[in-house]
Amino acid sequence: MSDRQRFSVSNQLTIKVNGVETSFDHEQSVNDYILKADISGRFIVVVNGEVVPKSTYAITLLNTGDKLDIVSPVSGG
Amino acid sequence: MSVDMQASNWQVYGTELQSRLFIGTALYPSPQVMMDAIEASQAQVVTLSLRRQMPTKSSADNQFWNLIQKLGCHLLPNTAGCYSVEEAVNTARMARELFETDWIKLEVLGDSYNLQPDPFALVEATKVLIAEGFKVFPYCTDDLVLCQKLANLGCEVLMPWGAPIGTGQGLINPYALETLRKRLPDMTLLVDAGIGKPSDAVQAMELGYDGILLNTAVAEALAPPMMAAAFAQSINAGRLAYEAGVMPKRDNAKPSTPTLDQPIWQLHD
Repeated sequence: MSDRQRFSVSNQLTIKVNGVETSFDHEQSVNDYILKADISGRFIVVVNGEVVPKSTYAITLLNTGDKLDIVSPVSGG
Repeated sequence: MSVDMQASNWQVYGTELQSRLFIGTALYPSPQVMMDAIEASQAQVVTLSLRRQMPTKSSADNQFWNLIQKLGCHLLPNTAGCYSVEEAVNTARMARELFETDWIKLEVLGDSYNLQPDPFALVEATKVLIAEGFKVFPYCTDDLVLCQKLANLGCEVLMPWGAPIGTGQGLINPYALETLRKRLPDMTLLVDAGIGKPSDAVQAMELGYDGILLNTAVAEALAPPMMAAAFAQSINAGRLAYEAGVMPKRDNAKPSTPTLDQPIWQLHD
C-alpha cells in the first residue's frame, strides 16, 4: 500500500445522514456537509442526538460512526 | 345595552389571544387550502412538527415553512409519534431550537391503536421539560388525577382529549371533561383531539373550556376554509354562551308566555 493510499484510508469517513450510510474520502465538518448537500432554509443539525449550535458548524468535525440528522419543519396537528 | 359579539380575550402562558381556536397544519389537500383554512379560522396559534428532511432551496419543506411564516401565528410544535420519555424530551429540545419557542405540545403515546397518551410517561416528560424551562401543553386523557398531577408540576395549560386523534367522535365522556372544569377552575383547559363538527366544539366551550385544538375536522372537510369559518363561529358562540350563563335544566315544563288574563276567559265561565 502506497503512502497516498494509506492517507486515503485513514481519512475515510463513514457516517449516517438521516439514517442513510454515507461515505466521504476526506475530513468533513458539519459546515462542509451542509454546503456540499446544498441544504438551506429552516433546519437544525443534530449529531448523535445532540443539537449542534449554528455557531459551531464550522468547527464541529464529523467522525466515523456519527449519526448526522438534518431536522426541519413539517406539518402537524 | 350593546353586546360584544366577540368572546373575551384570554391568555396562555402570559400570551394574550383573541381566538380560542388552535389549528393544525396537516392533512390539507394542498398548501393553498391550508393557508385559506387557517386564515378563515382566525386562529392565532398553529401546531406543526419536525422530521428528518433535507431541505434545499426548491424543496417542499421550505415551501411549507415559508407559508407558515406568512401567517404570523404563534407556533406550537408537537412531539407527535413519540412513545417514550426520552423520545419526547429529545424531540422537544429539537423543536425549541428549530422553532425558537419554548412552547411544546407534549405528546407521549401509550397505545398505537387509539393513540392514547401514556399518563405515566407524560408526567415524567413534563417534569423534565418544565425543569428545562419549557412551557408545556400536555396532550392528555380526561383523567382527573392525571390532570391534577400535571397542574401540580407547573403546567398552566392542559389539553385533554375529547376522543382519540382523528376519529371525529366528539366528546366521548362529557362527564369527565365537566369534572375537570369543576375541579380545576383556574386551569386553562383546551379540548385537543376528537372534535368532528362545530357542535362538538360548542359543547366543549359551553362546559367552560377555554379553547379547542383541532386539525382533521377542518382539513378533511369537503371545503376546509368554510369549515374553519364554521368552527371559528361555533367556538366563539360556545364561549359567549358560557360567559352569559346557561340556564339550569328543569324536569317540569314552565310556560314562557304569561298565563294570567288570557283573552279566552269566556270559554271557561
